[in-house]
Amino acid sequence: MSNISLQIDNILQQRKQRLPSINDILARCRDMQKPLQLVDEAIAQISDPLDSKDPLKEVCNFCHESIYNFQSELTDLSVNIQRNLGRFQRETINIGFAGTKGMGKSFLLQNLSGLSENEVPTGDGMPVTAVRCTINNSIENNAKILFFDDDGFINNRLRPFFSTLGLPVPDSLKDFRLMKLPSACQDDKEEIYRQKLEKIQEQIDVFSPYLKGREEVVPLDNLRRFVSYSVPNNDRPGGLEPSYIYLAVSSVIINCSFPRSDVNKLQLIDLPGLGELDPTLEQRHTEGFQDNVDVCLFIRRPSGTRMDWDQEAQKALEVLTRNTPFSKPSDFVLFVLNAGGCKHDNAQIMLEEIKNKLGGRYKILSTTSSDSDGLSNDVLINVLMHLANKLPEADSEIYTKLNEKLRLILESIRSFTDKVRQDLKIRGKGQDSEEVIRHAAKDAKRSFAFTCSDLLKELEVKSQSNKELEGLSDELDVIEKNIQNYYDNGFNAGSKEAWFKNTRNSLAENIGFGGVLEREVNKMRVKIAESFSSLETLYKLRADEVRGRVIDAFNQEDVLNNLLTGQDVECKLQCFLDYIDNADMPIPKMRNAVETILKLRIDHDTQFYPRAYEPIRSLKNAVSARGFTLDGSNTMEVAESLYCHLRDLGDKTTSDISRLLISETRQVFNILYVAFEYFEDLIVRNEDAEDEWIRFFKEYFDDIRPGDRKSNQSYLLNKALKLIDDLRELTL
Amino acid sequence: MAGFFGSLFNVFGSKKSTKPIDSPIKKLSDKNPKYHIGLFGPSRIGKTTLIASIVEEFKLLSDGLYNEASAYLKFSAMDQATSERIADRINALKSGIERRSFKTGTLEGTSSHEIFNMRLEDAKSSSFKLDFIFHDFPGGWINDPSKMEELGFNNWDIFILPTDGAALMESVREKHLESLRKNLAIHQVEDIIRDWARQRENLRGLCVIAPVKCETYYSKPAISPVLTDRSSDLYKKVVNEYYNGVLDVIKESKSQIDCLFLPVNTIGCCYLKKPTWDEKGMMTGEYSISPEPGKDKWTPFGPAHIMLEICKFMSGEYQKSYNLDAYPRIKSFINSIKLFENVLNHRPDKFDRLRKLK
Repeated sequence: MSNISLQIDNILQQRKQRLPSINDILARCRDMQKPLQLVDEAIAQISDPLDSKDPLKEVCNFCHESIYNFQSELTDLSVNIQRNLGRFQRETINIGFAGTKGMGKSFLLQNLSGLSENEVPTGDGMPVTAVRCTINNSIENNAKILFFDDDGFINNRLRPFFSTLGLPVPDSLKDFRLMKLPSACQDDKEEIYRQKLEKIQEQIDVFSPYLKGREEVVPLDNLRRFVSYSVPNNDRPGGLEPSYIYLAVSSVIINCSFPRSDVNKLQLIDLPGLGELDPTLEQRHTEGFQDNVDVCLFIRRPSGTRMDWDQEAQKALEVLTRNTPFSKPSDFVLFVLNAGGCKHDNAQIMLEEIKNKLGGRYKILSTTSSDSDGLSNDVLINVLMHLANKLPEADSEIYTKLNEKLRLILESIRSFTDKVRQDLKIRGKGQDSEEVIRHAAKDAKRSFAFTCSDLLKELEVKSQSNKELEGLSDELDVIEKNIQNYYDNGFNAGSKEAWFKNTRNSLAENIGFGGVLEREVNKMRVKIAESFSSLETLYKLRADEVRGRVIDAFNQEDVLNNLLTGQDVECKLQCFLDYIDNADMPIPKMRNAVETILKLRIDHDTQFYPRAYEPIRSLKNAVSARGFTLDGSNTMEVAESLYCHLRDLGDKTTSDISRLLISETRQVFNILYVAFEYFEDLIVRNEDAEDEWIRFFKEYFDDIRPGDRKSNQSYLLNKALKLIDDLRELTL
Repeated sequence: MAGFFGSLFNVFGSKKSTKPIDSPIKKLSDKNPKYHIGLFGPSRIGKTTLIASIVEEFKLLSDGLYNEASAYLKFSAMDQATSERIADRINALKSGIERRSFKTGTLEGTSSHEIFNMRLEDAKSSSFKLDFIFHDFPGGWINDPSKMEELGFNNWDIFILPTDGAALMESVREKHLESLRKNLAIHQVEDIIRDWARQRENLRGLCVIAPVKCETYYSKPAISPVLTDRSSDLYKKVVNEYYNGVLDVIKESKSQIDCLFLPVNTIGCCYLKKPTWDEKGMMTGEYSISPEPGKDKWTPFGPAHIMLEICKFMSGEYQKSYNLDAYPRIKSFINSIKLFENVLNHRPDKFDRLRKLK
């Protein structure tokens, strides 16, 4: 036994090791879905506007169908893998016990597991176990019952009946309770189902309180009523009374310590109802075969009248082998001839019958034991040995099958991509999309150049006309007025009187007026410079006008089609730079051009004020020369005289600066013209300009010409071809 | 040419002289030949002030001439009316100077055709005299052909074209530039000069383009350290930009007309501190009197040179037309002119603004 135990442990270990590979297969299945979907969508875009007689439409239809099939196959395979993942993730070896009623299945389970009638009830010739139970070899001693909720009950217990009877499935328990069932069915089988349904309806109040939709742990001695069709009642004939609480039970896990097995990781699964006329049972029998049962023991027991291999037995075997995960059903299903207490001859007859009818394909374990030791030796050990031999191969086979299935699907997809690529190329018409984009880019560049040439001409004319900068005269009037206010305000002392007073005091403190003069002239110089710096706004307006024209030129419908967005002109140009920077292909000269226009500045302090600085220099000279006298017989009069003198100097300086700036700022348009010409050279005239426009269009054609996609079949074709190539790449 | 003229007319003694057909020189038989000088320019440009400035500067400089060369040239009014008008103008100017600030355009403009009868003479007894009739007429007459005919300007031998130097230099804004040509009546000036030149046929003449109010644009004489030399800008504005048409007319005419560029300081002790414009686009600047010690007096600079050039022109014509040895008074006069020129050329603030344009 200990050797078997080690083998079983190895099997479980190997299974764990296979998990990553199986997960990979699952991941690949899933990863294929999106690319298939994309191809399907791209094909739909091509197909939608086509006439039904268009040969290309046929190709598109073929694509769509093929992709649908691939997606279905991959989905099915994914479901299959998910199921098998349960097998490979499982921590136990699971042995299923199946058999028609009265074959001694429960008896075997009791003895192998050490449970009693209370947990695994037996019955003489009658079905007893109503619920699929899993018996776990464990140090715990309890039962975990999973109850249906209302919907689970309806779907698992009721739906098969209603579907078989052709009746509408009730939406709720309340509906079922109130439902009027047919009074009779003509078909015998259907009539039996109808009667069972009727019984369930009658007993709804019995089991419905248990429809909690959750798991509960119960002591083992309280288990029977949840798993059996009947519970002991000495007051009833046969000592049993029917129980319907099982209807609320989905499944049960019984934890107990097996008396005769040192294979700890072992579960025995009771599969009730085989052969019973119950449409729910087959599904419940075979559900989880792929992930939850490693071997299924088909229990047979000769009785006085039933020794042959009859139709019922054949049907039962078919049910068991229908969903076997093994390629050879005889590896999955083992017969157990439960002959304990039977006549030897009858047992032999049954044995021969099974061998003859089934061609000796199936392994048959015979036992006449009626105790746990004997049954363990005759049945359990042999089953475990069988599993130790067969499971590794079976597991490997499952894995190989899944892998092979995926391989085949991928191969089909690959063939599909090759075929459809060719067909699309042959049957697609129109210009190559590359050509379309090139033309669009060239046309856009031409249109842009045309607009720019107008602007360039305008700027050239303005720069040559030597006209006064628009708005400058008014702005200078404002500046001069501000400066006058400054003087009227006593050079910002608050008032002329305040200035006189302060100056008088200063004059009184100092010998001579030189210090006062210098101080006041410096203040005045600063004020004058500050005042004229407001012209910067005017220059910025002119530069912004040019930038605005550039953006308008770019955003024309036949150029970039309002691609450039943003709050203001600078944001829009920055948007353009972002597009260029995010492009895969380098577009350096275009970038340089856009940056030039974005950064275009006409700076008053550095470009114009220095050229109008001479009057300030003269003012400073006037102060340092000091070749003048001030009138006045007292300090107040001298202060007043100084005020007039300062004001005269200030007026002269201001008017001279204004005059110079009027002349100098005629250069504004020259600056704008030169900068714009440089921009235009980079973006229109340089030898790489056309290539860069094409590159930009290639990167952002969808954004620039979104409408063109629908009308541009070639573009769509090439897009689809690219997606098909990507899909093919994934199959490798 | 002079000999030819000399043979035609008998002026003094037995010597016969002929008036040259291309010379404006009057017959020496005339006791005091009179020469007409036109002051042609728009209203309130400073024509009357210019005449007053010529008188005043001549007076200031004559002292120097006497002290240095014992010569004495006198330029004065010939009649009381002229004397009074000049005196009024001088008083008005001096009042403004005393107030230490005044605006141009505030002095009353000429409202009728006024004649200043002036005489330039060598003040020694029996000196040769030249009478000049300065025609100061309303600027608005420029636009009235009948008034112009009344003037008889074709008889004028000398043309002085005063122009507003400050308006030329300070008009930089477009709105001011638009009205500048109109305000300076450039077009009318060109027409008049053209007509004058044609009517004079081969007569020699002199045209002096005399920008006034030029104190602010020359660093000498030094009025204020805030002023910088912008004389080349002034020259360009006047000669290359605004009066180039006048110059072209003179150059293209058959008349032998000399043309001079002679910017003057009519007040001399003030500078433009703030140009302002009225609603008609006429510049009316605010001027400030120089704070330099001793420089707050009326000190015209340049107007006398206008007279000097006129005299030199006349001298030249006489020298061409006559054998001056036969005419000692003329010769003396001409010598005085030369001495005067010498004095002017050797003064500390030498006037170096004159440019011969043709």
